[in-house]
Amino acid sequence: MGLTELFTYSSAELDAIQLSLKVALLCTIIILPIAVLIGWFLARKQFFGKSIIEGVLHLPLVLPPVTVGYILLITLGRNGWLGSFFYSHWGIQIAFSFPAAVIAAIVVSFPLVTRSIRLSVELVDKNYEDAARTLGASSLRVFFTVTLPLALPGVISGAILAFARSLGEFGATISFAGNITGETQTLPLAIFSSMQVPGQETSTMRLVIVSVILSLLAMIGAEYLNRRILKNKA
Amino acid sequence: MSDILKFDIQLHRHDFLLNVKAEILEGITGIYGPSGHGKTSMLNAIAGLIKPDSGFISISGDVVFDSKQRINAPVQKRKIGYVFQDIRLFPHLTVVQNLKYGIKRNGASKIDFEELVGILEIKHLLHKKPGECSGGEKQRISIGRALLSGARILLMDEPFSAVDVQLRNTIIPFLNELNHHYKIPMLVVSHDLPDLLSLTDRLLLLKNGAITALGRFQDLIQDEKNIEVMRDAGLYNVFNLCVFASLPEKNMVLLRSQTNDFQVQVLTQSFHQKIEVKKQIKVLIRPEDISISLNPIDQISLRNQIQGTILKIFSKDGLSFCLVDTGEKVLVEITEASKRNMNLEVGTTVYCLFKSAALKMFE
Repeated sequence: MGLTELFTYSSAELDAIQLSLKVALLCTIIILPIAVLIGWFLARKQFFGKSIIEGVLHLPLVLPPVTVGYILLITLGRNGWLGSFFYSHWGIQIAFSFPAAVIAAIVVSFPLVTRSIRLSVELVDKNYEDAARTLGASSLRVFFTVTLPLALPGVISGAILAFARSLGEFGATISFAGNITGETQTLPLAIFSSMQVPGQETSTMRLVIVSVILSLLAMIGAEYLNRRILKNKA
Repeated sequence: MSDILKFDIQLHRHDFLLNVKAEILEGITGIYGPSGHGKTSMLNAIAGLIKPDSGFISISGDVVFDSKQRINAPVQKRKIGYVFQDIRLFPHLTVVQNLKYGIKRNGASKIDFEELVGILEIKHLLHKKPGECSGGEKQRISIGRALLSGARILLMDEPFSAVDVQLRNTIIPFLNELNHHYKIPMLVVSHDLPDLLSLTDRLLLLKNGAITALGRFQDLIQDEKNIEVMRDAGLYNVFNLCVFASLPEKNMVLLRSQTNDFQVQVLTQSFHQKIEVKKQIKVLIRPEDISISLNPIDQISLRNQIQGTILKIFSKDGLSFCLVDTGEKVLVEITEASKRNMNLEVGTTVYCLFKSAALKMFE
């Protein structure tokens, strides 16, 4: 295969790349506020049944992604208990659509992000929060001006993890969102599809290169941000 | 003086019981007690960082905790400034952001920002991060931050422990100045008695989670029980005197009490600032640095020979503590043997002898 061929992308391939970035970005934006809230809650609050809740939240980390996708399908699919409600009331069909790809990415990345945020909140010295309270700050103000800024490295690395994990998501997406070109066919799905067709090796390679570059950029970005934050703090 | 802080609280923690009741007046009150006897727990309970099991706390007549009425105002509503032992400046904010963090609480603070920054000598630090400041600077910033938050009372936990001896001596005048200037009551915890005494005469003694005494130090030393509590910390006599006259030919300064005839001579060199007549000076001397004689002695280098009458004598571990009324009450530590040889007893007229150099002065 020629070098020019390696960098000449077909429109279907560009669609897949664009779609992947869209899914990853949306997933990151939606997941962050929820994960910050839950991560903080798990780090700071003690309540009955906490370990069970933690277990459930962490399940997607250990379950095969296909299983996660199947569970999503039987819940949110047109015949699922929640999906059928959406469909009959508002005519919304979630499964096998672009939102389904985003939901699959969110569910799979969620434990990673929550864990990262939770650990960094746990590392924030509670004494600073007490000091802020003696200065008259409400719980909300303490959270936004002390806890969150001090836990920022964890939040950022959580966001990068969500982004990277969404880019690589395959199993849950294919079983819950399907493999529809231009709608749910993300980069990994496109790579898988082109692998199935003989003679598509160059196309596969092009997508693989993009996949590697995107993942690399995400990691370098995370490292850069983390360093800047640490420098700012000192 | 009106009481600014009143409390009566009980708090069980494992096998420790804090059971304290007191009325704190305006001005500076020192809280002395050995480590682990409940000083910090008491401050935390007053600030609202820990909840007592029972009792009440009121600040300027405003009840912030009452277990019977189920009142428990949250920390942020109590308007109590707290200067922590470990300082706790926010590391991600600049000095000016730290200082102004609490200002929002009450809108216009009665304390002028520029003026306070001037008094604390931290103007050049405003745009630095706390990490770039020295220990003494951080300490001053944290005091400023607490004052600017509109606090009705300032709690300070071991404000001298994070800084070295030299810095200590610079922080003490700041605290005195702040107290005079802003009239803000302060509760200062320390396990170092001389540090506390250089700051205030009014002491609260805490032992095993209970308050054993509260009052003027000069009154507290008349009670054997209090001497027992304070002895490990190094006892001091404290006199509030003012400059009466300068004696340049002798290289001495005469200090005199404003309420009685008590007077001492100190070396001119001991003064760090300009000697002004009428200036208030706090003078500290250790009981073991004072000798007792039955007669004045002429052929001796000692400048200070003060006549008085023995009010009380307590004996402890082979030592005798004599409380001598010389106008001011002076505590003198001598050996049991000396006491016997000199036939000292209550009512005996004696002379207290000490070198000028044994006096510690705080201007």
